[in-house]
Amino acid sequence: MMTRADFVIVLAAVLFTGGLYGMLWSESGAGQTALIQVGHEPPQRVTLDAHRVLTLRGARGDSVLEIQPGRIRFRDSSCNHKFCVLSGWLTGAGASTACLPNQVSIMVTGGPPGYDAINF
Amino acid sequence: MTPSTSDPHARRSPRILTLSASPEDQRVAWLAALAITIHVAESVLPSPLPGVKPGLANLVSVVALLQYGWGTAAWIAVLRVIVGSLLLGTFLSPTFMLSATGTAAALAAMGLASRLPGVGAVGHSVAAAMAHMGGQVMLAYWLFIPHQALLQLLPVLMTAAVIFGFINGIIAATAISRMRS
Repeated sequence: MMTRADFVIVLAAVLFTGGLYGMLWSESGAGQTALIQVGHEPPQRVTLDAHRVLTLRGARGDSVLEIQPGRIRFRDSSCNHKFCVLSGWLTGAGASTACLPNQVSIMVTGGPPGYDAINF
Repeated sequence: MTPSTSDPHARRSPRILTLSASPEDQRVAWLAALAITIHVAESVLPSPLPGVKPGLANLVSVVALLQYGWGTAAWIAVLRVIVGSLLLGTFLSPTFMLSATGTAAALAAMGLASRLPGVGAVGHSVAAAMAHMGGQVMLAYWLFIPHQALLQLLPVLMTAAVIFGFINGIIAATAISRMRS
């Protein structure tokens, strides 16, 4: 059913896929900056270099963001369900979360910003 | 007198272009019809992730490649993508472009695999599935969703490609051994 060459190809395929996990899922692609948007104001860019805590005034109250080297999270926000807090630390480029009631959203950015998606 | 279209002699000897279907043409037509049927049937299967599907239609190409050569397999795959998209209403849509790119990559991979000595159905199928997925994701990233998150999905998609490619390869190998016995 399977020849020796087949076995070699399957083995190479499995190793290649394993390598992809190692390459694309490692934390090395951690973001260096994050975009924070409050309400309809233009987004502000913050660098994720040192530990600090930002308190932002949103639509309903304060959102508290905590920054550590390479990551950012909602520590607290004035909303009912705290989905933003529960989504935890954002690390990789492209990771994003938002507190919709308080109209605060954050997105980690790594490389040059591009489009989210394009449709024709 | 100049000949005209109303000339009865001209009408009596019309020029007829005769297209004769060679056995090869008929084989391609039969197998392409089979592949298109599988392609359309497969499109109604629910998918856990966009881009993940068993790819059973490529079974026909794998079997055709090993039995009749790369040319037959290529004809079947190209006809399947075009006719399948016409039937599903996705012709020239992004879905079609992804499908066409994936199929072109799969055909290239199967062409390479068939040059290596001793590669059977499983090797061809796994190579084709991975090339299909790789081509598709690269086009999607380049043209439609240039977002880091898409590349993070690649390992999962490739895992699905390897698993389905392997299963299809086993099915194709079984089919071929029964055809040859």
